[in-house]
Amino acid sequence: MAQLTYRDAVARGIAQEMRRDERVLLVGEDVAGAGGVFKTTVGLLDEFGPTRVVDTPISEQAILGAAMGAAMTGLRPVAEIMFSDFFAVCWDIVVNQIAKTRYMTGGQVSLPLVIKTGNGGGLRFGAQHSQSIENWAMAIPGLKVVTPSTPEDVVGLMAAAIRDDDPVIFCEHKGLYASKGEVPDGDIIDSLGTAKVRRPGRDATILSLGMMVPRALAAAEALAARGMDVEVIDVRSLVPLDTQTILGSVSRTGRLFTVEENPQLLGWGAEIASLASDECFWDLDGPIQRITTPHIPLPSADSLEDLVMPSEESIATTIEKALQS
Amino acid sequence: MTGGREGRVAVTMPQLGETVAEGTVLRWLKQVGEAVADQEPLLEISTDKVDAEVPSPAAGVLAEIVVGEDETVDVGTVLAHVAPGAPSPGQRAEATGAPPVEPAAEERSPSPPSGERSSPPAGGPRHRHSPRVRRLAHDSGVDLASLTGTGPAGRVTPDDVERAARHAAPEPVPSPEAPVSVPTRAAPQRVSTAAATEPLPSLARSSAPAANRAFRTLVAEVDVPAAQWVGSSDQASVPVPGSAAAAVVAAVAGALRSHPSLLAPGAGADAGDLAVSWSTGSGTTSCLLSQAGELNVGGVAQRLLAGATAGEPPPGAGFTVSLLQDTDVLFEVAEPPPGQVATIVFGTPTRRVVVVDADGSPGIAIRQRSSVALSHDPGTVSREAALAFLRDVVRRAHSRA
Amino acid sequence: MRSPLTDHVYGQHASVLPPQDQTRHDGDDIDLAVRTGLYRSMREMRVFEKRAYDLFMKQLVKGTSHLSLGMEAIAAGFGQAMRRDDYTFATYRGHAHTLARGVPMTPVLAELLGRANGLLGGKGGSMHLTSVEHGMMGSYAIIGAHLTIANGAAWSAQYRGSGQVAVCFFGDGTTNIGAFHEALNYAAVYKLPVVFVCENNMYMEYTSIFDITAVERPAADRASAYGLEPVLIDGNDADEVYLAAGRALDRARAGDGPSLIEAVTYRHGGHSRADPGKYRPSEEVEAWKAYDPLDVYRDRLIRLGVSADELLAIDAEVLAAVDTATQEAIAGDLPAPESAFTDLWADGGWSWRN
Repeated sequence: MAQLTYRDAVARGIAQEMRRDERVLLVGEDVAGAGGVFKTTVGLLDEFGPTRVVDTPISEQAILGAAMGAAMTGLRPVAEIMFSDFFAVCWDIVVNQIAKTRYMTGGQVSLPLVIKTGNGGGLRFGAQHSQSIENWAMAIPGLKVVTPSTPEDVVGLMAAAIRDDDPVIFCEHKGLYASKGEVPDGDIIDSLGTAKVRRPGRDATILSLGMMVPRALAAAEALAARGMDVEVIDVRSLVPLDTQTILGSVSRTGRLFTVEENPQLLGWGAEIASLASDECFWDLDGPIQRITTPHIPLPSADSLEDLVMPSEESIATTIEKALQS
Repeated sequence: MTGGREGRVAVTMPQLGETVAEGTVLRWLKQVGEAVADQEPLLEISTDKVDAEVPSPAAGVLAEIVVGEDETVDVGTVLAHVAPGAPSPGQRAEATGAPPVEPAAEERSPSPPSGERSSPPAGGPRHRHSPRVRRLAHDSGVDLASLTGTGPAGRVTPDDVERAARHAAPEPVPSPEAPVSVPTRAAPQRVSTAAATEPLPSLARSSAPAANRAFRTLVAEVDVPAAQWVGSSDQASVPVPGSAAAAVVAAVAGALRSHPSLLAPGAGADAGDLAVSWSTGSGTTSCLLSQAGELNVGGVAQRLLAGATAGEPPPGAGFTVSLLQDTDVLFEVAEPPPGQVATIVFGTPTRRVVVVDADGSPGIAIRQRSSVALSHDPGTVSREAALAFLRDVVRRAHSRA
Repeated sequence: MRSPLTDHVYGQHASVLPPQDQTRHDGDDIDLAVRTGLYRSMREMRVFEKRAYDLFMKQLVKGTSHLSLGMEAIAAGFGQAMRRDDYTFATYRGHAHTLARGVPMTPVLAELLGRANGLLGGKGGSMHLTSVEHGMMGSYAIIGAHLTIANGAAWSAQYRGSGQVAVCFFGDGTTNIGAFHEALNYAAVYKLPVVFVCENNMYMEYTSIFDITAVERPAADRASAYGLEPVLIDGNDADEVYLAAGRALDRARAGDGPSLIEAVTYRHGGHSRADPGKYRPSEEVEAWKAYDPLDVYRDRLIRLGVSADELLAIDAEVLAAVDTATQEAIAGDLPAPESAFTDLWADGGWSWRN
C-alpha cells in the first residue's frame, strides 16, 4: 500500500498493462520524451522504448486514426488526446469511425483501444481547455465512458479499459491530478460498468463523477452535521451504467440529486433522472434535482469559474433546501 | 416496372432516394412510336434531390406517354408504356416485389414499477404527496386524507404512512386475498414482499407433477445482472433475451460440460442441444442451442437472438433451461420434459434484501436475484450430483455477473 | 474587388482529355496470366456495377451508391499486385476495390440490396463494404478519415514485423481536407508501409477539382511537402497501374516508407446515382468514354495474341457469375429484426446498462 498521486496512477495503470501485454502501445502528443504535459506518462518511454511509447505531431485525427487502424489489426493501443476539448477536432474519427465500425461491419472488426484525455475544469484554463465531455461521448452508441475519481480507481479502471475489447473514452480529471490516495500494491484490475458507494446514507442519494465526487463527499459531511444522512455514489462509468447500484440507492432513499460538471442541458444526470423516473417513480419521495454548471462556457477568472462550478457549499445548500421543503 | 395490358410494359417514376416522394418529368428523349432499346434512356426526370435519366425497361416501341413534360407525379406513377417489339434477351431476374417488412411495431409499454400498480393510486382529495407516500398508502390501505404530516410544511412522510398502517392493521396475519406488505426498515421490495406473503403452491404455475413420475426439486438463488431476462422487446417481433439471460444460460451450458449426468441419456459430452425458453406474461419464446457448451456469453446472446422463435422449444434437447419473467410469479417447479432427466427454471428477477459480509461483519444489501429451481429424476440423478451441478451453475453465473 | 472565382463558371471549363497512345505498355514485362487476370477483374467490376445500377432502377437497391464505371483499372491493377494479407482501405466508392480483393459477388450485391446474406448482414450498405478475411479493411464514407486509419494498420504491420502493406484509395477531393495532410505527414515521419492512391477523376461531386485547388496536380503536387516523390500515372491503363503498384508496395515492404500515387482517370457516370454528371463538357466525356480502360486492355490483349474467343469466354463467365449473384442476392432473406440489436459491443449485444 502506497500513497500515490492521481497523475502517477495513470502511468502505473498503463505500465501494469504494457508489462503484461506487448500488444499495448501508447501514442500521443508529448507522451514519450516529455512524459505527458500533465506528467501522466512519466517513465513509460524509459521502460518500454520508443517503438511502444510514441510522440506524435499535433494531428489529433492522425493519432486516433492510427490507434483505430492498429486496434483493428491486432494491437491494443492507448491514445492520448491532451485536453478533452480537442476531441472536437477529431470527433469524426471517434464518432463516425471508432464508434460505428463494429456495428456497421456486422461484428467483423474489433476495436480494443483506449483514448485517455485530460478532462474538466477548475484550473483557470478558460473555455477551450476546461470542458467536461463525458456527455458528448456517452451520447454515441459504441463508446464506453469512464471517469475515475481516486488514484486506485485510475489504476484499476485503466487496466479494465485496456483489457476491454471495445473502445473506451478514459476521462482523467485535470483538477484531480495532484490529489493523493492509498493504492494497494500489485496488479489492480477493476471492472467497467460499476459505480461505488463512497458514503452510505438514508435520506438522499447524490450521484457524482470525477472532481465532483470529493465535493459531494464534503457536502455530505456538512449535511450530516445538520442531521441529514445522504448517500454519495461515485458513478465512475457512464457507459456501461451501473443502474443496479444507482437505482437501488434511489429506491432506498427516495431522493435523487446529481452533481455534474457540465452545462445543464443534456448532462449525464438528465439521463439518470429519466431512468429514475421510469423505474423508481413510486419510490421517489420528492423531485429529482440536478446540480450542474449553468448553460455557459466555463469562464477563466478564478472568481467566475468558482462561481459557476458546483461547490461543497452550493451542493449542501441545494440539498438541504430540497430535503426541508 | 410492371407488365401492363396487352403485354405492354409500364414505365414508372422511380424512387430516387428514400425521402423522395415525387418527381417531375423534364424532357422526353423518345416520342411515341419511336423504337427503344432495353435500358436506353427514355426521359429525364428531376426530384428535389436528384436529376436522372429513366431507362426503358424493355426493347420495343414507346407506345404511350402518360405524363407530359413539366408535370410532377408521385413515385410509382406510370409515366409511359413500352410495347415490346421482340423478346428481350437482356431481361434480368424479376424483382421479388416484396416490400420490406417493417419490424412489428408493438406499442411500447413501459414497465410499471410493479404489475399490480401500473396506474397511480387514486382516490381522496388532491394532495402534494410524493409517489413513494402514495404507493405506501395504497399498499397498506391508509387514507392519506386522514393523516397529518410531520414533514417539512406538514408534508406526509413515508414514516407517517407506515405508522398509520401499523395502527390500522388489526390482523397481523396477511390474508392471500388482500396481501398486506410488511413495512421493513429496508426499503420495501414490492414484488418479492407481496409474493412472499403468499403460500408457495399458489405461486407455482401449472406445476402439478405427473402422477406416474416423481421428481425432486432443489431451489437456490443467484445474483443476476439485470432486472429482466427479456430485453427491449418493443422493436422486435418476439421478445429478445438480454445479456442477463445469456449469462445464466451460458452458466448452465458450462456446468453441463462438467456434469454430463444431468443430460438426457445419449446427448453426448458436448451438452447436446440445449433448449432455452423464456416466458413473459404474454407468452413463451424459445430457442434451440447446439454445441452450447462451446459458447461464451456473447455467443449465447447472439444465438438466442438469432434463433428466437415463438412457442415452446421442440422436443429432443439434452436439457432445458426456462427463464420466467412474470411480476406475479417468483419461480416455477417444472417437470423434466420427456426423455430428459433434469430441468432448470430461473425465476423472475426481483430485487431482494440479502445479508452480506461487509468486512467481516454482517451487512444488508439490495441485490437483483433470481430463484433457481433444479428439478431432476431422483432415480437417475443423485441428490449429491444435482447439488453439485446447481452449485456450479450459481458459481458460473456469479463469475460472469 | 475581383473575386478569385470570377473566371470560374460552373460547368464551363476547359476539357481535360485522355492520352492518345494506347500501345505504350504493350511491351511491358508482365505475365500474360497476370494480364488476363487484370482483364477478368476489370470485367467483373464493370458487369457487377452495371447490374447494381439496373437493380437500383428496379428499386431493389436502396439508399445511395457510388459507381467506379470507367475507373476499374486502378482497383484491378492494385488488386493483382497486392499480397493476399495486405490491407485495402477504400472510400464509399468501394465496390470495385472489394471485388479486387476476391470478395465473392453474392454477399456484396446482397449487401446493396439490404439482405441478410449481405456482406455486413445489411447493417453497412454500399458505402461500408468490409471483409476482414480478404484484407478488405473497410470502405469509409467520411472524406479523409481512412487515410489516418490506414496509417494505423501500417503501424501495426510495422510493429509486428509482418511485412504487410496498407493501401488506401481516395478521390481527388480528399486532397483538400485536413486529415489528408495529417495522414501524409504522419506516414512520412514514421516511414509507415502505406501506399496512398489518389483516384483523380477530376471532379469532386459536381465541381472540377482543378477549379478549386491551389496547385495543378491535387495529389502529386503535394507530395514534396511530405518529402515524397510525385508519382503521376495513367489510371485508365491497368498495366501502368499494376507496375506503379508493384514499385510502391516493394518500397513499403523494404521499409522505405509511404508512397503517394496520383492516378488520373474518369468516371463514366455521375458522382453518385443521384447525379447524371451534366456539369462536364460533352467532348470531354466522349473522349474519356472512348478511352475506356476495358477497351484499352482488350485491344492490347488481342495485339499480344490472346484470341477473341478467349476474351469472350471470360466475358461469358463473368456475366454468368453476376447473374448467379443477382439471383442469390434477390433470393436472400430480409435481415432478422433482432439483428438490429447485435454487434454494438464485443459481447455481441447492445446493452449500455446492467
